Amino acid sequence: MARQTVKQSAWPWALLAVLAATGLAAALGLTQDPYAQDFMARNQGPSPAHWLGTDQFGRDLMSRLMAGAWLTLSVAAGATLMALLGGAGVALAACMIGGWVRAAVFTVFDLLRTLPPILVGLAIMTALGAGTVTVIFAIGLTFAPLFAYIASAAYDRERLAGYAMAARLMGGSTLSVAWRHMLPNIAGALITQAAIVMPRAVTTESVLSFLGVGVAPDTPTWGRIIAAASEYAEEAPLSLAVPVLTLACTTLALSLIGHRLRRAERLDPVPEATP
Amino acid sequence: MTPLLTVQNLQIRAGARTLVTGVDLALNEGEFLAVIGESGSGKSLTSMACCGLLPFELTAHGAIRFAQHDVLALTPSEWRSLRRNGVAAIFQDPMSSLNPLMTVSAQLAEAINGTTRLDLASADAARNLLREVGLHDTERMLNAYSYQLSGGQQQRVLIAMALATNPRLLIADEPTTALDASTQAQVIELLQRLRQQRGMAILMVTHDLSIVRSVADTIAVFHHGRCVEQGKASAVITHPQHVYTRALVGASMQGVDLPLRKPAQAPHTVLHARNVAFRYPNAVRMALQGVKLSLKAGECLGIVGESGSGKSTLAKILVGAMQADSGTVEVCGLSPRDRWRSTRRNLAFARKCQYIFQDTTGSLNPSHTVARTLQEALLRSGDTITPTDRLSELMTEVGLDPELLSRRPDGLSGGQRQRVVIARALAVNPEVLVCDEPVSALDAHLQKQIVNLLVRLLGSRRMAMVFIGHDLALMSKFCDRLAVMDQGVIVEQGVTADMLGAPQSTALQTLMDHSFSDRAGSARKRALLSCAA
Amino acid sequence: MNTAIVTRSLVVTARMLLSIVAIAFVVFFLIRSIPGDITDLYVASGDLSASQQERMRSELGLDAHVFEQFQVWSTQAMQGDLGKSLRFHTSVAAMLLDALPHTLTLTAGALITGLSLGGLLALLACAFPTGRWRRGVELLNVWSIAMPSFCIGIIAVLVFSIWLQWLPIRGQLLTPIIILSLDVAGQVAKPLYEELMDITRRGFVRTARAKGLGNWQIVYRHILPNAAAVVISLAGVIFGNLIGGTLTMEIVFGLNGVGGLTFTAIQGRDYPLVQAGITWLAVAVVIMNQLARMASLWIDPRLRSIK
Repeated sequence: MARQTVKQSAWPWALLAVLAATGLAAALGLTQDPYAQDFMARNQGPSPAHWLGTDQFGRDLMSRLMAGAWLTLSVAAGATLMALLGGAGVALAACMIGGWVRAAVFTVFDLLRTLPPILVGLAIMTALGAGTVTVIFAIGLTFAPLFAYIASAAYDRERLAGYAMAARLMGGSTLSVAWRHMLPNIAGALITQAAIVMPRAVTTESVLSFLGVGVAPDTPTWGRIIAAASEYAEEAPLSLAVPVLTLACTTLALSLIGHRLRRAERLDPVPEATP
Repeated sequence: MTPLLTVQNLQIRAGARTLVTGVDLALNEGEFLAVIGESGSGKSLTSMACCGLLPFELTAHGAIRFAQHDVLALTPSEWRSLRRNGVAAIFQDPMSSLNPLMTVSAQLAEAINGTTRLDLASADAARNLLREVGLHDTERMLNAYSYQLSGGQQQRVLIAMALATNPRLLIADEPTTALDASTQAQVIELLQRLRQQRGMAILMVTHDLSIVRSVADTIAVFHHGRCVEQGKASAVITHPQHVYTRALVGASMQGVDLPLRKPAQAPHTVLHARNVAFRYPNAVRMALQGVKLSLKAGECLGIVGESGSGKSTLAKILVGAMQADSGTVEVCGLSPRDRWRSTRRNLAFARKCQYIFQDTTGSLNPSHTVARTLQEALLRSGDTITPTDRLSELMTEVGLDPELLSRRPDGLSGGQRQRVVIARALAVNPEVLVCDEPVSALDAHLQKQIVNLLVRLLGSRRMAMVFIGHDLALMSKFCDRLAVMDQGVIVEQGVTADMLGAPQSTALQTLMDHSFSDRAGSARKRALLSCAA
Repeated sequence: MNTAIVTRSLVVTARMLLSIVAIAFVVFFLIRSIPGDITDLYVASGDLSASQQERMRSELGLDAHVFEQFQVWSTQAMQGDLGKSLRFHTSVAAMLLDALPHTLTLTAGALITGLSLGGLLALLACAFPTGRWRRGVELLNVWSIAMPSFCIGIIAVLVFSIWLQWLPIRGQLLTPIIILSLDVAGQVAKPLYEELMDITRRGFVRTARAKGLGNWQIVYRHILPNAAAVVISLAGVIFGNLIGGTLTMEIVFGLNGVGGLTFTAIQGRDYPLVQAGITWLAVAVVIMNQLARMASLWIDPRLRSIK
């Protein structure tokens, strides 16, 4: 059974490329200043000067959106990375130590996993206060259990895998066996999970920022932009609609990519070694 | 006498593809028809068509008559009444054939009266059925769930359910394939007994001729979707007409073509074990006790026993994959326990002794190509010959086309995978090969091929081999010496021919009874041949 | 058999109680770790001098160790006293109880509608496997993964309340229930469909047909119970997501449920209310999860052996 390839449209990747480009442009300062306020031009619709209009402080919506792309995605990526390294790292360490340490660690992960991310994020951020670093930490914490379980399942599976034992019986050292046989399989599963978690991190950050407990008030992630715009929903609906739609499309694109990665893994999976 | 079941010109199609064609069968009341063939030969589909359980994507054409009913033309409700009144069926994997959420009594009740409750009358009937199939602890059985029963017990429960409606025909689709050798024999015996007591006809599908040769009245042989031969069992076995039938009969009767091996001139001991004992944590009894073995250079020692006798555990201890609780093991002067103390020792041990796994799928990394797997093995051999030449050499040595080097395990057949595992073991040029049931999962003729290969390699490379298995008939053909294991103890050990001539232990006797069911067959053969001559 | 269920249920209940205590403590600790407390607010508004502050703190027990404070709080909580809201000066417990019916309607409504919709779709896709219903299942699955209810909620408000003006902006339950139930349905439909397809191929269904059982009997005795096992194992995750979604929907649509109340409390720095609200929501999730586990035990006998 050879690897199957299914033709799929490339729009999610295209969208991400556009976002990355715009985000980079914003970060490099190639757009209008997203923070520049202009009270004479408040809540305007699209115009040649401001392609998507302005918000209630007269700030150019388009450049805020582009800056938001960079900020939102980097916060989400940071949180996902933290969840991966923290979750998988702690889990693997616990697995290697074994015994009651492993049981205790996974009891905590178990509890964390059952709670909805928004609730956990809410609780932590209320305590720690708004801010970029804290929100990355909070979201990272809520998604860490997902990686922990993938890592521990992969670890158990690989340890029992016949081919790992076969390689050792062939005279291979522990390190070479881990490198050649175990790591590629664990890494693959973790990366797929990261692709799945990323859009959820985007959503969680947006909701938390919308609720006011995410990033600091002047950091224009999309959640913040949406929060600000929702107060003026009736006067300037466009300034609310555009960020929301952008957020939705981005989440959709990221989810599709994650979904496809997971399906690809299932079609050509690493088979379970029969015990 | 009109046959109970006739199949005329049966054709089974999946859309435009024809899977089975031109099949004619006949089965009389009370007869045992064995349908033999490899997987994919169409035997299962034919039997499914006979009981109306073809998957809905497939269509059947032609005629199947059961006691005057044209079966292919029945409506679903007519089928239902036929199933409650004449035709019953059991299938291959007993564990998945039982609903895991329902007790045995509920499922048995369904068979008896269509509900899930047993009233007084049906409870009696249920208990009688259970006793009839050999399950005497009826209260425990009735309240059990499927996961609490062994494979043999599950299959007996399924047979009891099939008998509930007093069928005239029982269709059995590979009922013993998922069971181990001794349980297989017991189930076949049960079917035979039920047939005699109830006058029930049996149509049994299987890929293994040897288990039915002593009980079948007629045999039908399937190959590539056609029935290539059919007739009375004795005739088919002694005078097979079709080429394929001859191959099948040959594989089940003849032994391995043993190339002549000269035992080593001054054989020194390459492996010995003394007083090995092992208990699994939390287990009640010892898995191994007082095991004493020795192996000489160039020799082939067979360790034979039922499943659970401890032979696999012993194999793992011999190579160091598990550590014995007490006793000593020495292979070419090295201790398997010590091999893990450093990478250097591990490598040294690996170069002396290699292990062939039972489960090929597990022991090959599924994301590595054959070439990569073999290259990794060659790294350990310390040879300096260029890898590409060596790879092709290895492949040819085990009888594989070097073109297969770029494939991954899922692109290989079971037999090819096993050859790759052997090639990998040979890469380091070991002196001792420990093979743990290497052919148990293969079809009969593949088993013969792999065993031939191993024996040839023993001669050409001057290796010694420990071969673990449960098929005494096969092992007796090529093992110089045998050790019989039962419940963790070696009950008998010695030169193969001597042991088989005069078995001392009940374990060996039981094994011989089950494995040499063709004794009856070969006795009949001799009788027939002498009549004909 | 019954003893196995009972013992296992006791184990499950014990774990649940332990989890509840753990969550309550963690939330308590988090809230207490916010710099500043009630007395600071009073000082800031000029009602309290520095020396009076010390006295007030010891009166309120705020200078004791965190564990002691938790002990006090939890004993009071078990008797039903969750403290007083700082802004409204009414019993927190009473406020939450008032808000509960709104949340319950939303959650229960979404859960029931979503499960029914998802279940129906899965059954249809199974019964008519030639494409249209299957695509529906796939689409619904992708929808629930990819479209955050938060975004859809805001878009719905924009479209239905502001642009079309069919519905009021705040206070209506219809739209949030629809949005959340689509979410639930999406999480249920695909796994259930796959499980149903898998079950129909399994051996025991074939055995049941060979026994001559009718189609309906096979479906409700063999297929549905095994499929139910899958749905129940998903129920915990679905409920967790649902609570998160309810929280968001209450805020976007201006509903006075527990979530909305908690959020207002966060904005108003009303810490006793925040603490109680978050704890309630988390505890609800834990209880539902454990109920799902107990239901699994009841349905699937293989899970009853204790490891």
